[in-house]
Amino acid sequence: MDVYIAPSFTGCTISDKLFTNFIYLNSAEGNGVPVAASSVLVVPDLSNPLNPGFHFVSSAWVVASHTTDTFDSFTDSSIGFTVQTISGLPLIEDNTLTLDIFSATGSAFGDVAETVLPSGQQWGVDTGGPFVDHQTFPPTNILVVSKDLIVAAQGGTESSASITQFSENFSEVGAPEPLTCVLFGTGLVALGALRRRK
Amino acid sequence: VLVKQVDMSQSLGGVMKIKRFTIQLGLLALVAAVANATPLCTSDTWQNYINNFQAGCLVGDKLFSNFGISASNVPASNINVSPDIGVGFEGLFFSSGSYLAFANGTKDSTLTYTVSAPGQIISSSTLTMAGRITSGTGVITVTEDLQQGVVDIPGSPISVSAAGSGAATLDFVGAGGTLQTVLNVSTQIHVHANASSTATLSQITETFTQLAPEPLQSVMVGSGIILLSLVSRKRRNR
Repeated sequence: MDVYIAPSFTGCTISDKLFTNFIYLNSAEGNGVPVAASSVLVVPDLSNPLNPGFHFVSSAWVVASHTTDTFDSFTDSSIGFTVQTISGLPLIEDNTLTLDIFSATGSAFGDVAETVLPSGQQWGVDTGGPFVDHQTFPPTNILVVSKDLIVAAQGGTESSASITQFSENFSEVGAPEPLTCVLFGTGLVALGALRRRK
Repeated sequence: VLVKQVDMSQSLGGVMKIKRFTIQLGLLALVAAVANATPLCTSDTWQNYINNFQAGCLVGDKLFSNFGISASNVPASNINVSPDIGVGFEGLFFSSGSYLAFANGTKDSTLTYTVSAPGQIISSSTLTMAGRITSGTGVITVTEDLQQGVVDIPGSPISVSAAGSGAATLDFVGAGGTLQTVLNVSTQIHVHANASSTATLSQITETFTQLAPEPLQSVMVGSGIILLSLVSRKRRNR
């Protein structure tokens, strides 16, 4: 993750999508330890070219509370980035958030919450379920993603939770966008008309 | 002959363009020199924004200043802030895991600052949150109050919540045509978990756009005009 947020990082592509504007911030309280950007591994997911995305992996998203604790504990990571289609065509139409590897015991949980612009829809996966959240939205050429991961344990209880991996994928529509078709079509008709006039 | 004339007028226009370009470059350098006096907003805690950037810091071409916090049971040193520069917008990206509430817990804060776009007009503000009621029931709301001086601008405040939309935009042009150059922003964060419930909010973005023609549209209109002029010239030549 530290590579992705470096000022020298200008963006990267997976399949037909460009990922830019990465932001990473962390915080922690109680027994929680802040997870450094360098402890988060970002793995491009190319398994399905029509549904590209990322795996986010870290062994540090772990927190535990004990019966003697008079405070709650957590570690939190906020991730932001922008996804664009390289062609500029509005082809992104859905987002899947998946909690892949995790654990939770007692009064503790791990949770990934996410909001995506422009639709403002919210996604959420949690160690208590759901583990997969898939939603569609009107096709767009640009998405601004705000994501939050928290692993927390309630003080005064013997509890622990962890998230080792979660994933995010953006699929796309196969057909060109209607407006582009109309523009292209009108151009063809106009060309034909011009040629006939000559 | 016609072609030559066209060439000459183009080269004349070219000289004028170079002159204008030089003047613009000079102006730009002047603006840049003034802007250089102001530090860039960095990734830091809200407490350090309050301590170090009272006079203001820049995110892209926008100036953020007058940072403050009130009515808060989360310390400003626990709230992280990063500049957020996206495609066509600039703003602040807030993050803190401290807005975490277990059984009957509540976390509240009001964050305040001023945003201005020197030499430009701010045309919209977008608020987003990422948070969830992870078990049981509770409330998560973030309300962004946008004021000119101490008066709400039309359409303000805007809010997002766990129960509703995670994003809200106030388009100043759409809200009665009151374009802004300086905005006072006050953001109220409220997180509450009911009995045997958990609620967490840890991310907020507040971004602003300025008035600028939409690139694609201007390219289309521009190419249309060029095409029209080409066609009419061709007709005249005949």
